[in-house]
Amino acid sequence: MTEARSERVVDARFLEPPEPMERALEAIDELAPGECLRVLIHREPFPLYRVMLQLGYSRTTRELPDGTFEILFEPG
Amino acid sequence: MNSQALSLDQGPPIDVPFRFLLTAPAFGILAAALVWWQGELALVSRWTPGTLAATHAITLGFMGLVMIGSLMQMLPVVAGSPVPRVSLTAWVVHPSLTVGTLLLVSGFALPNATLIGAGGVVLVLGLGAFILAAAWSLTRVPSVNPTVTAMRLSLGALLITVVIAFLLVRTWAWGAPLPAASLRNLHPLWGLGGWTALLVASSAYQVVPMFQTCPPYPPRSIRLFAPLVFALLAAHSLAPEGRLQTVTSWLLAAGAVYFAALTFHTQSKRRRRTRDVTLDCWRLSLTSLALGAIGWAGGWLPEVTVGVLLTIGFALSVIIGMLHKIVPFLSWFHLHARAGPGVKVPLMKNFLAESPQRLQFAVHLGAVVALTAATIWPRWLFHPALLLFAASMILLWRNLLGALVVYRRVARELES
Repeated sequence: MTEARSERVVDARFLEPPEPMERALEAIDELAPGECLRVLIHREPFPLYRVMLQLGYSRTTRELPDGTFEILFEPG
Repeated sequence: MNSQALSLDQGPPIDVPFRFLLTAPAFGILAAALVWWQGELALVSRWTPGTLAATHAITLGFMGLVMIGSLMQMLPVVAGSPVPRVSLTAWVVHPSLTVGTLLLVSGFALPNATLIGAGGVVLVLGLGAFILAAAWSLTRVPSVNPTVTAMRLSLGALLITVVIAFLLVRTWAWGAPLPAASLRNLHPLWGLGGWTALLVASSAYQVVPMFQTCPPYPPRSIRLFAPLVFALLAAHSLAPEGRLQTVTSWLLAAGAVYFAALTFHTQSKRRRRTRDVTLDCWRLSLTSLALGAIGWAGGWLPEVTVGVLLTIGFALSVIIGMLHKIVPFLSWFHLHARAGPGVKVPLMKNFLAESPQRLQFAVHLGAVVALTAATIWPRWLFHPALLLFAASMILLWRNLLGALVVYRRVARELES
């Protein structure tokens, strides 16, 4: 059971590379301790997965009915 | 559906692709100078010294350097299989390709048989080394997909092109008899229709969905494309002149039109509807491909016109579009990897802005139209077309070097 955590949302859908990565990195810079990052994107961002893993975040990926992805990165 | 994740960390150090990509435009400028020096006849016959020299400056110097440099970058990223000893391979292949091309081009221009022979030998050795390294890499991919298949067949076509080239060099340089007169036409056919077209297709399968934010190419529509094209090229090569070759020519042209239509269709589904200069490059490239292929199959266009459409129109347009993306992207990516998390790296658009790309494309479009028309009406269009083409190459070079300058500045700042 997880308590509700504050989260920052990055909508990177249909942006050309590397803009999705740039926006995600910008958001990561501004994350408060314990805050989650939710990314909406049209292709699974494997390079971002690696970066977030290095920073100690776990992830949950969900494919949405329209074919885009929603990824929740949670600290710890 | 290609599920191979783009794994950029397996890519080579940045100087490997950069040395290829950033020296290429010089050969474009050289080609323009050679045609200017030869005069109007260069655009009427493909056999004048200036035309032969310029053709190889473009196909080997510009196209060859970019395509090989890109493959060395893309093989590990897209196929998951790095080129062995990649820095060493680059150290061998790049000088061989540049020096060999310069020797061959001088040999054609003067003309001088010894230089043609020397250039031919250096090129065969350098290209041979590349083919071996790339083949080693392509036999070790973790999973096969249409991109990998097309890359393998493209490399096979390069091998055939080089073998035919060596037979032609033997004739030019040492007077050895040519096994078949048809080899003179099969050389550009395999080079453009096989090596170039299949490599462009394999790249398109990856970069069109990625950079144009459109859905992937439907897997069933692309799975057999490269194998069929390769088989048709082989059939055309072995068929005697006559009805059978007419059939294979038309089927190859149909393949070109099919690929163009499929790509246009895929791009029409892109989510971002903003104007994009890379999209314009693709459109110019594919339109030139279709027109050139049909003009060739039907015999409706002179040889030099077909050559201009397929090299300057088809190959160079898509290469320009990709270079304007790859060079800033690689700069951004490598700096980002060096900087590590938390350190700010300029946005990709700060390496190369949109407006210099738009200007270069406008000049290039003018050059394609003018050069194509100049092959039919050389008297009025010859010099303006060449000036436009030289300008487009200079602008391209300026754009790419500009991105390199930003890269170096930021790299120095990161070190301090």
